Amino acid sequence: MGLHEKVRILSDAGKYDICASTSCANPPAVRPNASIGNVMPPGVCHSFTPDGRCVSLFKVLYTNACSMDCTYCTNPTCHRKESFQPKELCDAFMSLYMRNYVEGMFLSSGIARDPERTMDDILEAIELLRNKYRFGGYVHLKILPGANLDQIKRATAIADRVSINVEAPSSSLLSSIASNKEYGNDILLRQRWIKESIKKGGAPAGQTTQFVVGAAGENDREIIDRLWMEYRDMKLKRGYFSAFNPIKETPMEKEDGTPLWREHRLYQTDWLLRVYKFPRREVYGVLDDDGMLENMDPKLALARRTFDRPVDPNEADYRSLLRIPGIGPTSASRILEHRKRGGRIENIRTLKSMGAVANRARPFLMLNGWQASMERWWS
Amino acid sequence: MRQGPRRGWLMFHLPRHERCSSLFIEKVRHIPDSDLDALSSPEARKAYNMAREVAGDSHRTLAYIRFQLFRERVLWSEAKPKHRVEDMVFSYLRKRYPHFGLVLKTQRGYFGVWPDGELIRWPVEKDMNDVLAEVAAKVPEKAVWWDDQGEGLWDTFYNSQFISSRKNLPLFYKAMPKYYLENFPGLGVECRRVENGTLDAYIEEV
Repeated sequence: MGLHEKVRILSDAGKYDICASTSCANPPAVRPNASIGNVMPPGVCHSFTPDGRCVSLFKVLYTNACSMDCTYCTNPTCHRKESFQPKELCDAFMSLYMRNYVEGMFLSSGIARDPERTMDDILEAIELLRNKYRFGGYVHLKILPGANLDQIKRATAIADRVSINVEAPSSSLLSSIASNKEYGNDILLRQRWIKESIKKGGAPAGQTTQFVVGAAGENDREIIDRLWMEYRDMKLKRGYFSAFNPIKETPMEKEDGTPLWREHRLYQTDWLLRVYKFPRREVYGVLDDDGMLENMDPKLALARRTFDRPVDPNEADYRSLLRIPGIGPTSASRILEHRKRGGRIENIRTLKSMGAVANRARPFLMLNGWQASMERWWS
Repeated sequence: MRQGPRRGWLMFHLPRHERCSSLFIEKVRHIPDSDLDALSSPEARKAYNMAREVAGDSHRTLAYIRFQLFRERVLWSEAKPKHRVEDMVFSYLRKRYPHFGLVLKTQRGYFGVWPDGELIRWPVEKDMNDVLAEVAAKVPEKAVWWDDQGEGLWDTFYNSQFISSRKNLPLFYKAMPKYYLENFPGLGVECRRVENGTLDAYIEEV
């Protein structure tokens, strides 16, 4: 089989994995032996597919042969099993990188029989890319459930970022969709090993993880709890969410897919936890009785619960400003800076010039003792 | 905590903006630090927005230029960035491809560089082959030593990444504005995919 056909099959199988468009470490890793490739801190998205997702990395599986039984995944039931040879993978990647089509490599894999052996094959390919092809750019490597400690050390030494997918928020939920993956041992223990390796200087862009949202029937509160624990215990850089999408010829092909808005609302909630540093208990406020998010911007939902009167931006503290929709950490800091220098927020234009999204913020603000006449969100 | 742009950052980007006059740059020079920090005056905000347009254009140019190979020594491409960002683009590309000669043809001329060389500009009327030959002559050895798989590999890879159930063209156009699709000839695969779809996708939808 030709290399193009392998790329077609193995990148198609890898397209459900999610990786960031702007995932590079800052400062980037310096690889003194590199002769091609560079890591740019903000990252570059080289293309977008018609679904609006960024294509910044050469995202492929090393092999789609897999002995796992994940019911949502296409690999176990796929009839055409293919694997790269390390050299093939490197040649294909370099041909794309040289033409500026991709910013780096994202390598994952099915688990062909023995996870340690497959992990060794993956590591061999990336070591070839680093040492013989002398590629100094960005590499994101998936750690397979079952990889050993030595392999994790090797992986964090050569990759900029590593990740292992938790897929579901708890052991029982995971076993309902992947009976031969053991949550504590295969996933959480490996994440702990990754954390230790990163602490010693490996993988400068840290570790991430991914949830398949809706496949195991979990609710959003369970996902938020697990994510919060991942940030606290595993020092996760960030979590990704992939709405479950039933794939033909898989055991779950007849199940309903998860609406994309749920994935979107989880990302927004994650932003509140990770970037805004909202306490988890406060975020619970946007969940309904079943522990699910509404299809509404969670920050707006929180603001409607939080404020019983409009806020004067000339008086409010950072904590309150940050809770106003349309005002983020940067614009909140600018407002405080402006006030510190004796300035006042006289009108919405001043706020806008500071980077606030005026239309979202307006209903929650009182400027010069006057509140916008538009209907209050919470009325 | 400082949140506004630094004056040096503005002064670096503003002269590269296609619509920025020297008069405005002079005005920006005298904006008080306090206004810059909080972006609290219209001039400060305007300067910041213009500088961000330049930075964004440079970022997108870096992302969307597609190189072709000449004599296994030179990577060349054509593109029309909105602003005068060629030097910014080359300062990054040199780190990315240190052993290649690099040539970019824009509406402002040819820009080229080779290992250890300075950025050179040729007039737009010059013949592309002459420019490429000139740059290739400065590159001491072949820069490609792996088995090159050619340009077609991108077509294969790109088409494999689309998930039809998530189709969202407004998001696609937000990320890849029409200006870049129309003025960066290397984005042909993306244009074809969006305009025509593929036979597989058509059969799947039917």
